Amino acid sequence: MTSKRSGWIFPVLAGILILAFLGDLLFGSVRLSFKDFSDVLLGKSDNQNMDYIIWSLRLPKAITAILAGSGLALCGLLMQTLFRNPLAGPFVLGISSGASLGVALLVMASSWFGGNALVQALPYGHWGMVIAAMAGALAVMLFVILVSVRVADSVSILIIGMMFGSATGAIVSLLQYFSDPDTVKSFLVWTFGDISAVTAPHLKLLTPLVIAGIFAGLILRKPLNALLLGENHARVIGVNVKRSRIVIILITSLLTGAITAFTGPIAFVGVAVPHLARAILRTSDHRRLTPATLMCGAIIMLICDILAQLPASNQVLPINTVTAIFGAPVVIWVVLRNRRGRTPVES
Amino acid sequence: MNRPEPDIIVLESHDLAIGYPYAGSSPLILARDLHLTMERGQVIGLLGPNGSGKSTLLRTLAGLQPTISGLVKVMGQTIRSNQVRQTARMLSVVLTDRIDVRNLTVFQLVSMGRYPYTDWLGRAGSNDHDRIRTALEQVRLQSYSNRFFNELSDGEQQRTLLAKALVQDTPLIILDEPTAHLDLPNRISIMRLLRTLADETGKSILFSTHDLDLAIHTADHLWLLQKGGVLLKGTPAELMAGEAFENTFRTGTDEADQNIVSDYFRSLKKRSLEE
Repeated sequence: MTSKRSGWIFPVLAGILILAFLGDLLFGSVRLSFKDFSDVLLGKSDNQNMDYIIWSLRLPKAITAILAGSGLALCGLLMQTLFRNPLAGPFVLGISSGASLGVALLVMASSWFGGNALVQALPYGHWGMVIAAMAGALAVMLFVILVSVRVADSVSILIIGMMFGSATGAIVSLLQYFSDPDTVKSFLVWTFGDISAVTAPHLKLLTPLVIAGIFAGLILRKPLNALLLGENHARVIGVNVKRSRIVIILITSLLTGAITAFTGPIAFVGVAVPHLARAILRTSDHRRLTPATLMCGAIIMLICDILAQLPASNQVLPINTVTAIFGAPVVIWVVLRNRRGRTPVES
Repeated sequence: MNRPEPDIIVLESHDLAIGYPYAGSSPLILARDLHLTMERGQVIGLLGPNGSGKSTLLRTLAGLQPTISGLVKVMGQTIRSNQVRQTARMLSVVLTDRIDVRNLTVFQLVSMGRYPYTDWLGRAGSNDHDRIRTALEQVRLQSYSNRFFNELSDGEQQRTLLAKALVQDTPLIILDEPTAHLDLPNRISIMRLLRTLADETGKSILFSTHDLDLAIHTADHLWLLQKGGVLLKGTPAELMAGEAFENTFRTGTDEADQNIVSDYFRSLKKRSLEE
């Protein structure tokens, strides 16, 4: 019954994940020789700069890549299954729009009241940004959950979420329209997404949130499988559809809100990675699909972060552009290849 | 047909009214005062014109939507629309909603029927595996375990869903138009399968259909639901003796249409008498 491919896929994914993690520590704007690198990892290095680069800069960034990649990918999977829509992703509920409204309000309002000096004084990734983004995400999340308790069907929630996202996006545009170019730029930079802004103190909050969300997502695998069939089919085999739906939305909002608050809105990963995982495993069974999606999400984010450093200068590409430019062709290739190679009969 | 212990009441409804409640205004009631009973091993066909409320009745009996008033009991336990878990152990439902999932095998889909019994991950144990295999044999899909559900024909899909209902291990199976979209051989095959399953397993089977001919030959009893909420009950023979079918289905206003319906039932009755 279970596919023969499943046996080696998870060990291979785990291997790639470890390699990508080490790679993300090794590559960066400062070149490290392999010996320096291994010395630092083994604690034999006496070069304090190297120690600082690895442990204080690159390690938090790599951990953030894993948390953000796996968390967003999981949210994408949850939304795609809940709405039975392959285009759904973590942002369909308008959570990221809420976060960006929070940040836009902070950046632009502070420029009106305190002049540009205040904005400059807000270092990028500062707690102020994080709190503003979280407040925005939380506001949208409460709204979406209020709606999902009242509304009887998922499609209405999807539509309301998207409408709310559009309205919030429009308010952000208005704020930009009435702001000076410098302020707009500091907001735009936030929207590009940045995982290097997340530092060790940030991780103390982000890590438990993401781990809790992932844990909850793993517990939900049984009802998720039932929801694949459609809400009515799920009901008749004993799924409390409404309760499952609220829990799924709660987890997605929490994960997306927390991650977006710290890293900015990272597009693409959430929508694409579940498709990648489905194509690799050739299954819709969440018991295997969920862990595979988590691992693929982490791998993709780590690799994208390595690629973002590739110019090998002090310039680092915005992570959002890398995920889409390098990730999209990979996913298209995998999906196409998989479709052609499908052999339905193996009984 | 030797059905054991035919006196066990599997399904009963008391003063049941079905329809749709509207917030703030009076509800739309499709039928009221329904007193229905189903015995163990019985096959009942629910017939009626479009819009008479067949699906609403089935959905209400299955606990998929709340009753307007009255109550439904399965094996003596009241069905409540907000207790999906308990309901799933008392009755299983085969719906017409299309299932559109890629990469889902027949075995995986049928194993979903074990949902009320499996652990938190939904893993099927060896007992579940045995039941799934038996059900696949019963619907004659034993060699289809690893086929993908979305690549099956409509008839095979319907049989797969029936197997899913079987492994749910409930005394009552409700099917909403199980023969819709099927060709004649498949319609006959599904109906015969329902009959055989009821006789061999003692499950009670309630189905709705527009295949009058097949229902008459398959079911022990028919429920004819008329527009306006009147429900006529009886064996096919009893109902054929009177004008029940004509009164139920001659709903159009066009006189020519009505005459054709009358002619159809005349020939149907003649054929049944000859057999």
